[in-house]
Amino acid sequence: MMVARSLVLIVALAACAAPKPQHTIPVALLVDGDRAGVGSLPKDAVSGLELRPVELAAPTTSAPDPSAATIAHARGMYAGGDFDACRGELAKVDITHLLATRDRALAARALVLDTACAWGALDKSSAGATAARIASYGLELPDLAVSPDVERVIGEALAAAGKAPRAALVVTGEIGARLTVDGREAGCALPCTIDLAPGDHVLAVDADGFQPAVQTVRSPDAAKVSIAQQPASAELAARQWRARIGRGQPATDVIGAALLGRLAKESRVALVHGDKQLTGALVVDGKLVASARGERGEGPEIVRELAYDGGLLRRPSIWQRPWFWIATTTAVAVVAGVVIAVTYEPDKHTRLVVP
Amino acid sequence: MRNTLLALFVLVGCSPQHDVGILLGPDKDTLTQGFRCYRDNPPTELMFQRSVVGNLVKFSLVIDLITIDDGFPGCRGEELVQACLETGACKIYTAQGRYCQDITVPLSEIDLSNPAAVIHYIGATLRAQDPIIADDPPDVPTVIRAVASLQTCAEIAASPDYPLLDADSALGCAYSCPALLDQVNGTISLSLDSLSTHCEQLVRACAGFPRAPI
Repeated sequence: MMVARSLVLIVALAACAAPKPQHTIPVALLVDGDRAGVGSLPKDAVSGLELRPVELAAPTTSAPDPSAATIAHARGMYAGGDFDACRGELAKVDITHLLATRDRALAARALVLDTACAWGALDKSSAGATAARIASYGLELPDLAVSPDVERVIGEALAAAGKAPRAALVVTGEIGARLTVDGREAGCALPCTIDLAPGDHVLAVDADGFQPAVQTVRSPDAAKVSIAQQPASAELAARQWRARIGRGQPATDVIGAALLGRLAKESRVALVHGDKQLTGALVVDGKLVASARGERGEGPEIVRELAYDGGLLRRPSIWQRPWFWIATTTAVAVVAGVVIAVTYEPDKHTRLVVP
Repeated sequence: MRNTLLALFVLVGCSPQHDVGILLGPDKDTLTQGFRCYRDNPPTELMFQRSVVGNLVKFSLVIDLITIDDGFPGCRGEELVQACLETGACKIYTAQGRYCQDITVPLSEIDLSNPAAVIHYIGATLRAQDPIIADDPPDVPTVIRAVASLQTCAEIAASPDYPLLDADSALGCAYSCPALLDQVNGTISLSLDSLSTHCEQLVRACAGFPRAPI
């Protein structure tokens, strides 16, 4: 009897033991929102997983563009009549970069000033070419005092550009990438076809998960251009992911999941967002594979559910879960109690008596 | 929680007391025919008349439980004979001893020809001496039998045929239908299945049961 009971106990204990993987699975863990509501998530919070916390780098403020100062300096030279020095200073300004970063006003200021300096230096052909760039880019003229001759040269370039026929250009690259032309929204996502005035143009593309790319084209020389983009670095992916959240876009849609996969530098990323409720998502190889919800403080439970739903861990069979045995034992006890209550007949103590 | 456990303990640990009264006839005021049988010879004499010794009436009253180990026969004699005599399944229950009372009455105080007087006297005597006939009898089909005998209780206890009774000494006899006493409510009546007042042989067979009549 004792041996039988021991065997039953051993079998029950073995049955209750949930399967444990032999090796822990590394999972990058990104906690955002109300961290206090998520609760503690040490690296071994979930059996079978090794949680590796990921911290998003704080957003950095980019260094101020020196172009504005350079242009101001060149304007001083122009006012002082030192036209060659003015042109030399303006040569330092990267017009393509200004247009790629959508600073059309500064680009217009630099080109108008460059036109004036070239005209002042008696280099009329250069002045004309620069004015043609202004016209080609479609820049709005700045409130900048230049000589009437310069205004005329620019006006003639604008007029010529307005009369010239526009040519179509097919732009391809990363599907869905946002396209700007000469610092203005093209109004379409790649691949798309745009109409361009003759002359030079700056095409810039921007897509989440990729490095921005810039390419200059000359219309109508090219009818088709393909702009390649390099994958975003982890830091850039983090900035892009944060920017998407800021724009109110989903954190774990297709693009969000891809960014999470890239920013964490792990193939498996668990995201837990703390709020009134907790939400979680598991991204594997840049794809969302599981999502879960829970109450505040249930961070480990959410990560465990994600691991089960995402196939990282094998969910214990129903009979390997404690609540199953609790429920079964309770049910058996209730049934036994009911059976006893219904069928029990107390042993009567009968006496035969003389009435 | 504590109250629940207490109730469970009471439920399991206690067995309610259940009293079953024995009637020596169809009701408490009527004496069964089994105690009013006439002898075969002389046919005008009550069997109970043999208990008169001088100015006294002396007899013993034995109340037995006859357990039936196998089956649950009906009341009729034929069924009891078939169930008991042919199988040996019926036994007089003596594990708690046997209920036997010697009764001695001055003849002047009892009219043997008046059944109501006899039953009231017997009942009063039994109640006065020991009203408990059996305490917690076995939970098997049981026949209750009452025998009035010329043998004293001491003679019965010393009999070599114990627990069988001497049929020749019987003055009256009655028995109940087989019953599970735990399931009997109220009273259980004893009677003798006779269609005649000349029932000496039936009394003898009843008293000698479960031994086959000679």
